[in-house]
Amino acid sequence: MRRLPARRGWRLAAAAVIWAMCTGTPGVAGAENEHVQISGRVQSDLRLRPRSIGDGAFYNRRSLPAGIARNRNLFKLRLASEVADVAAIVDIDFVWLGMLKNVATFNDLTLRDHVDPYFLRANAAYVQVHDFLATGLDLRLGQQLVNWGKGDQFNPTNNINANDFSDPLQFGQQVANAMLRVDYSPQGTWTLSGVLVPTFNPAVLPFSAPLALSNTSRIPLPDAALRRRIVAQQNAVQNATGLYPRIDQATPVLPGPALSDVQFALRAAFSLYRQDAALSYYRGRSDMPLPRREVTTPTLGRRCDPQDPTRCINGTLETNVELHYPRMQVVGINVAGEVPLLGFLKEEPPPFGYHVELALISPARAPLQIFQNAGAGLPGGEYAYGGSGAPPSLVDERAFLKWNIGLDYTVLHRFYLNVQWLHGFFDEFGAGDFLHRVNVPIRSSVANPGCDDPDRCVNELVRSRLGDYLVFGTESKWFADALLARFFVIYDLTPIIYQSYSARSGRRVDTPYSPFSARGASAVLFPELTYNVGGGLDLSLGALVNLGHSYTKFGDPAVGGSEIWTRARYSY
Amino acid sequence: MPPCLPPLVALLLAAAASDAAPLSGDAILARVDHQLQASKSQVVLMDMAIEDPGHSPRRIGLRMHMAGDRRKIQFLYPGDMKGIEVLNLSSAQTYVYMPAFGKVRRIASHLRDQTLFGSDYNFDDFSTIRLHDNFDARVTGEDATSWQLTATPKKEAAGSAVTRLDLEVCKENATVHRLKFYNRQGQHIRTETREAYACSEGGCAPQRTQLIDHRHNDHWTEVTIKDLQLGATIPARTFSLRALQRHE
Repeated sequence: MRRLPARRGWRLAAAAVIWAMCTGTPGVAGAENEHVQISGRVQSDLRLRPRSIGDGAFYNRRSLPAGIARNRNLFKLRLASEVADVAAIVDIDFVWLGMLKNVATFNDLTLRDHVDPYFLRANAAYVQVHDFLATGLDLRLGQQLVNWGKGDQFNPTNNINANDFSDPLQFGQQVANAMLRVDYSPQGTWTLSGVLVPTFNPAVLPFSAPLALSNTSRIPLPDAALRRRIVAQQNAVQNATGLYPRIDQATPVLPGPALSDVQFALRAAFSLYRQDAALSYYRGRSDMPLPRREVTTPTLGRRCDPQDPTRCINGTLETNVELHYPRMQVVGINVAGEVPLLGFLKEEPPPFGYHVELALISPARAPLQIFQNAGAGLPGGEYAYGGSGAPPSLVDERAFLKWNIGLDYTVLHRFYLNVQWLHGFFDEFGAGDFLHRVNVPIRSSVANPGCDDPDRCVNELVRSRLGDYLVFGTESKWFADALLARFFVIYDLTPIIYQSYSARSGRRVDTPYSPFSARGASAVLFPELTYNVGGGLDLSLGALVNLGHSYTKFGDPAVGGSEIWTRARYSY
Repeated sequence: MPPCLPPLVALLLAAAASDAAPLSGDAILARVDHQLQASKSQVVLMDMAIEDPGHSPRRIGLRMHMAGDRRKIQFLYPGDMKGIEVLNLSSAQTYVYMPAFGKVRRIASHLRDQTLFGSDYNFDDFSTIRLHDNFDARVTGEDATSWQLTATPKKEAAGSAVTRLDLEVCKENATVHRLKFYNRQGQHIRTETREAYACSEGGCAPQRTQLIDHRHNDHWTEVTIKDLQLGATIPARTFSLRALQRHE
């Protein structure tokens, strides 16, 4: 769902309304005719952040305050026109943010879109031809979403569209992109699909993502020796000069319009013995950015902590990070159906629903170059990585697996239960699990500032690059289905390991933090109540609670902290 | 429920039928199916009113395409249900497309006795097309105008909460006028009445159907036929999984 500049957005909106009128619609809110279907919704979201979140020291702190976290109003318009074998679909969200942005100058007060900001999102704008050239051959061209994968919300084989993390309540939401899709259904349940995506779209990151830039204590290199050396040297510079590391900017470099950057995907889907299955292949890029070049500039400028004037620094090591999107190929396997897990019981209860979604991901090597500009008495040049002198890999070429395996069932005719095992979260990329032992740091510190042996003085918290997560959800409906109660949990099962030097044993030792201990636990709780008033109106109340220490997966401030939310939605 | 035939006609028919061999329950059930299947295809526009006693009814608009064993239901209103489509390819193969998720999903067996979007109907009701294929029946009573049957599942379908059906079948045209559903414990859980049959060469269809769920405070759902096209020409692709997936 690409955001468009506001003015261009309104032009598109106007065009959509004109299109609706031209195709015989008496009015947008009016009746439908035989060929045009109108639907959509008006939705109001109000969210509260009960506690402020932030990260970093006084010289690089970023934070989000407690209070109103979101105050959005949305108008969705979906027009679908179908005549004979040709269909056209437009699905646009008009979103009013309800909170000021970029009002810093007197002049800003004169700009309507600064004082009352809004944006437009095109979820779909495509034409579709059925039985194009041959029976069973469908062609779809334009802005669209392609949803592959049998898993619930977590789909490692669904890589054609980029993820949209802008709304933490919408797990699995994606950004529409312009593409050409061809589906051929020769017979039965077989469908062969091909998708061509001319341009790459990156993932939309959470509003809280910039908070991650304030945490400079996690250099994401899997090479532990090199990583510790950098941490120790950084610490030595800090002590000697009073210059502290700070990430100034992270600049994404998007792939160009070259033909070699065109993404494509293929899929064969079919049903066999009442099981639905699909094999897929995707060639393109990861939608999550990785650093590929860091340039640090020593910058003098004494400043002190306003809260504690005795804590001062002489300046910063300003780092600019260049981000890129590594290439990858993905082979996907999806199977879903039913399995009689309780078939041995006398009463033979209904079988469980299951799904297995497996992605074998082959990434291109993603190296990281580290440079420093000379200044403040520090030398300039590329970092001496050691070994062959080549820049280290953030991600190497080893293929890795991500999966989502799940079961669902209904008990007592009312409680729908869903359990999923996720291996590899949305943002995790690269080999690193029990198949390929690669740990990545989540916190680093130096135990003894005077120490020059990184193995002895650097303490780290690390974890497998690919984590394991348990998703458990339940839904039940009450009062003639008017009240929906839903509760979902995502629990991080990945142990955290504290690595430090033990003088007693004379070597580095690992101290695991169990995911079920207070130090290692991390989870997301998602309770929700929705009351269906009737006539298309529903009212919801819920919370998104991120639990865990700040170094854990979901306790990390960059995840966005906890929110209490309300929603009113009228669908038409 | 009104009798299915005027009393005089019924008496004449009863007299004429008295010499004939009595029909078995299975044969009557086969007649019921034959009557239901008389029209090769149907397109039905329906208004469904769902009422919880003490509350104003909620209304759902539906369009159903039927051909043989295949059915497809499109939800027309209210807005939060608009665009939902349910495709039934066989008694074990039901798919649903939910616009909110943008995906087609197979309905698992454990969901088959769940209510169909708040109504008193469930996915099982939707997919049970031919009674004779799924139930054995015996005649438990009869009068001048109707038979009373008790039907039990041939092989208890996994996930089905229904273990017995009592039917009242009109002798004249083999239309069902009342169904009682029983659960595993033998409790009478639901009652469906079918009224105001409109008959033509393409068969008979009730213009009004009411289903009462006795487990939920006699919560009821009434379906009124707004438009019925018997023998309508429906393209085969309407019932294809691909047609449903085109929405994805």
